[in-house]
Amino acid sequence: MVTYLIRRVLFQGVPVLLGFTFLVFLMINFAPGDPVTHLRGVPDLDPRVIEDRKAQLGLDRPLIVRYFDWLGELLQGNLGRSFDSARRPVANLIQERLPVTILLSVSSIIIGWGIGIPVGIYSARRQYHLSDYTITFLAFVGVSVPNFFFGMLLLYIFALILNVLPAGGYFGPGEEFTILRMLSYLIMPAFTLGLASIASITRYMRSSLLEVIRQDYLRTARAKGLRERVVIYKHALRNALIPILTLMGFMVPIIFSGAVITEQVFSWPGLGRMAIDATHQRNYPLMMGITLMFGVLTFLGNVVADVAYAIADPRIRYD
Amino acid sequence: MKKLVLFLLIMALVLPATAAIAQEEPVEGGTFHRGMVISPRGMFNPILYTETYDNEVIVAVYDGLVTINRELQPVPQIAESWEFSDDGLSLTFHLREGVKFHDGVEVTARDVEYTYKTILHPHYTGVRYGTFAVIKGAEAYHDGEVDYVEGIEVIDDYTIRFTTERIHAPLLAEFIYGILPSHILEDVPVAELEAHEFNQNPIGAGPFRFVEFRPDRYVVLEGFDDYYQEGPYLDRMVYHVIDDEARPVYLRQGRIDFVGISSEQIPMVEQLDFVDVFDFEAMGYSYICFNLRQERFDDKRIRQAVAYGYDRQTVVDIILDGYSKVANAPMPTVSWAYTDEGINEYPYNPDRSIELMQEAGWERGADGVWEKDDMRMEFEFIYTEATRAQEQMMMLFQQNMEDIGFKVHLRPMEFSAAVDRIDAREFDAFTLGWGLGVDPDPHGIWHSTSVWNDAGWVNERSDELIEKGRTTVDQDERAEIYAEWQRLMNEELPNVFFTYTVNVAAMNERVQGVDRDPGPQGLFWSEILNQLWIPAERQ
Amino acid sequence: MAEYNEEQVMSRRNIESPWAVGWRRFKKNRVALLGAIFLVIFIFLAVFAPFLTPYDPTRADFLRRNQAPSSEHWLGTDEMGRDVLTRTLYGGRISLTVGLVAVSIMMIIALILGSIAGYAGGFTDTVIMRLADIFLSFPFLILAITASALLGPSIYNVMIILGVISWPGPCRLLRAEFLKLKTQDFVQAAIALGGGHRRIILIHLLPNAIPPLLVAATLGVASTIIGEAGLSFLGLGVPPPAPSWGNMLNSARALHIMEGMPWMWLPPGIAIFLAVLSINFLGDGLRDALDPKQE
Repeated sequence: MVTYLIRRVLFQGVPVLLGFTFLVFLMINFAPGDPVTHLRGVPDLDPRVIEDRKAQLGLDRPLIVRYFDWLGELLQGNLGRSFDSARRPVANLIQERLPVTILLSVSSIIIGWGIGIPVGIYSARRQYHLSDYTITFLAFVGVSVPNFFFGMLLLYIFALILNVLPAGGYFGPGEEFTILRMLSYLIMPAFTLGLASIASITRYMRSSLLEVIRQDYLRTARAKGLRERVVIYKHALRNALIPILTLMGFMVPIIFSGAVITEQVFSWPGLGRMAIDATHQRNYPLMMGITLMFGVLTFLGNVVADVAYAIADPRIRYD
Repeated sequence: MKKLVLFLLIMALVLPATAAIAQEEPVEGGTFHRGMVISPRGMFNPILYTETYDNEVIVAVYDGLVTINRELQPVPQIAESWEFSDDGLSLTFHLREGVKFHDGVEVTARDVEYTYKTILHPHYTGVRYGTFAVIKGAEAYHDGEVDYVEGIEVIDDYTIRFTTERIHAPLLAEFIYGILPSHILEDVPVAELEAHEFNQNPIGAGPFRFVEFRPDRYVVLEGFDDYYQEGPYLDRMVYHVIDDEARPVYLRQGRIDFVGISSEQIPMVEQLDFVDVFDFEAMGYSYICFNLRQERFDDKRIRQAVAYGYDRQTVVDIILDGYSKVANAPMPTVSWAYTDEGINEYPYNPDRSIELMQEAGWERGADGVWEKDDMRMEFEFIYTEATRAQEQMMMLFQQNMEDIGFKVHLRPMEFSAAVDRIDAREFDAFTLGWGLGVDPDPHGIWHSTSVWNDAGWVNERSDELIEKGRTTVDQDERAEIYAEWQRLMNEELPNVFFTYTVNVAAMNERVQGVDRDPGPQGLFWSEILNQLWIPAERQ
Repeated sequence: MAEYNEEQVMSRRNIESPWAVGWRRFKKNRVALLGAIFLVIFIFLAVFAPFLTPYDPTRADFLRRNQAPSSEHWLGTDEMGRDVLTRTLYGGRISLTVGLVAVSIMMIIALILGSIAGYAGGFTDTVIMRLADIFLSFPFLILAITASALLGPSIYNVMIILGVISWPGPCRLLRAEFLKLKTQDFVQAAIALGGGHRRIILIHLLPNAIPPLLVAATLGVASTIIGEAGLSFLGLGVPPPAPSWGNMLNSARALHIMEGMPWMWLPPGIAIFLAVLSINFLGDGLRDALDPKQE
């Protein structure tokens, strides 16, 4: 297992990350505009200042050199400094926003799996009943609603009409931390982001369980006279869950994409908003840092899914 | 124009009127919640910041030698008084005694010297060197030839003298930058100042002490007890970063007391009976710039046709809900150099546009678009995606132009991308706005040698007037020079001027000590922050 | 391969083609049929929008701003006095077109790369699949945001971005199909007979891989419509004044509009939802019909 993980990181993770960061680096540098354009609002500014500024930021150097500079710094654990006027370390900027983005993403994953799995099981067990049809239909609805529209609906109902939840944001200054208050900020964004996961996990869980139930060894188990409940929960479920685990790896990048939009709808002070802002400002180091962060997190999500897969399925051995 | 007259009347009445309103005695305590739609960056350093949102915090945390009052004149802050030498080249400031930084150390002339000398330092990374390069010996110091600045002399702890190379009319109004504590910063190499954590934990001598900054969320300041002037009365001043679209709702819910609002939000905010809506003209204007390097635009009649053909009054009345003013020359009405004498207002008159085009020798082609020789009035029009009001204005522009035979292809772009095109001079026409400084000198934008002269406007008379204006000291004389310049610009229309920048803000009525008729600097210029208070029963 | 003996011809006559089997199954799937009907209605509304409404979707009329629904404007007007129903209909044109074009781009890339990878195998395969990994394993929105900054906002760029970003899914699918088919006798035979690569790919492999690709393409239209809406919602997609469902939602994002003028944002939102839902139903029905093993 350990050697597998090492191999996975070295031969898959590193090349993929390198490729991805290089791709993004090329794209952002070919985009029109540069990080000093905001200085243009100052009418009596000496244009020499702008040239100096570009030199300070290293923008006068060739593209390839800049990429390898960035990579070199990265190897020493340094993400560089943001190009905006405050020149703060990219690591700090990310560190300030990462926890809330993780909070949002993890809550939505918990919601997705916590609701999707039991509902999927229920639906499978009630196959051909009205409740199964209803759940299947709702799952279709869930994957078909764009999450920002769902978020707007939630905002409209709970924050504007009923006025029971705050219309976005996260903990104001001096607000004391309580779990309840945290939930009041978190619940709408987390459900917005989690909706698609609930729906797709329900569908996958249902079909996976149905497929397992049809298999021979379960027929044997039933034939032995085991009660249906025991058959389902003791034998079928474990096997049905295995393919669901691989889904986790696929879903991590989707969750992060969704987080960018969800954060926008709910003014959630996370990485997504900063990513959009950094793009408009052509803040290259910050964009690279955010990209890398999302990349690493996604990769870790995939690895976790693999490990979980191996633990759940004794037939799978990585070596 | 009616609005303008009203505005000037109010200006005249302001001082006695405010005295009458503020009869109640200010009380201490309370938190003032301000909204901001963009998070500060965390560059809370007066000589290095470049973004407005950082500056909103900076003016509360730092005081400068002087500050600018609502009539746009310099008034004392840390400097108690000042005098110019007879030749007009030296300016001596006398500092107040007993002014303290937030850490208790006294502000002296050394701190002033440190602040301005740092701006001139060879390794200085900010953008303000140009403003002070006129100080004697600044260039030699900046180029690293000498390690002192001849034109900055500390006479004693409370006296400092600045000497310039030549007469520079706008000089006094430049000494507004917050004074930095030299006892904390003087050992920091200037090149590293930019990345120093002081910038996120600022210490100044202003009315509010910095407490906490959470990016994208809030900034908390606390009233500074040892402030050298009246107040501050507020316990805390908190800046909340909120979504621009959420502003009216936050005001209604009382979560914020004050925020600038956009024109489409005005009707909703006006319905709130505990919230006052203010409008104030800022130093700025928006404009439509044609690329005069293209022959088809290089005829003033073409630009005049556009000015007559674009219904700018409808923009002001309907899209901007009456909270703006049509501009016809590049000088804000709030500037002392503004004139409306001899200014053509170019009222909406599409027939006149068509006449002008015909006079200029253009004929309408088969599809109704003007043509002349091998030229055609069909062009790309760049605008930056900003507010929805802006998008609406562009739609109207396109429709209006179609009516007078100009075919406009709207091209929304990101600001960075638009500026790239403009700087490369690869554009037909675009619209943007300028935010201006307090001094009316238009050299930076309009002189033929200026890099920001995007239109490519070259006019000898204009250059002459601009140069004359910046070397004349007497304000009345300067005003006359600029009046003539404005009439020239109004006739030639190197840009089609669009509207003056009018900002609209909303504030909960519980906040007192505010000038209810704000000047061009808005409600909270540095001079009055210490005077804000909230009645005890509403804290 | 062109000649059959009698027995083969006979048996061919009696076996239904997979398409006929699929159609028979599809007809029985009422939900999928409903999805198809809805979709046809949507396409009809989009195509004939100019005949269905007397209003112009982009021309502003400032005297009629922010009007609530009435007999004149069934779904009210927006901030520029434009009829919301008209814009929703025309928005369907743009959203559906973006979906179809983006999916075509996606399928072209996927067909080329997937065929090459699945047929050639070896090093080429590894490179293409690693490239697909890169695209698959990163949040697409970060890529899309950067790409739209690079290309600037325009409807064509949205199509390109969405198409280019989503190719790895169907590409993998096609490759897997090819690998499976390659082991089958008739393909082995064709290879043994020395058929040209192109001929083998085009005649023997591709046609047999179509059913799963068709399903992927249908579902792809649904996800690109959502993708377009998401990009436009962030202001990175279809630029105004042209209406798309996403940018209509974006311009109604203000809380005071959400609260006081729901007619501006509910119609485009519901339109996206219904369109995507019917495409998903259709896609699901197609999958059941053409490729019953997959779920």
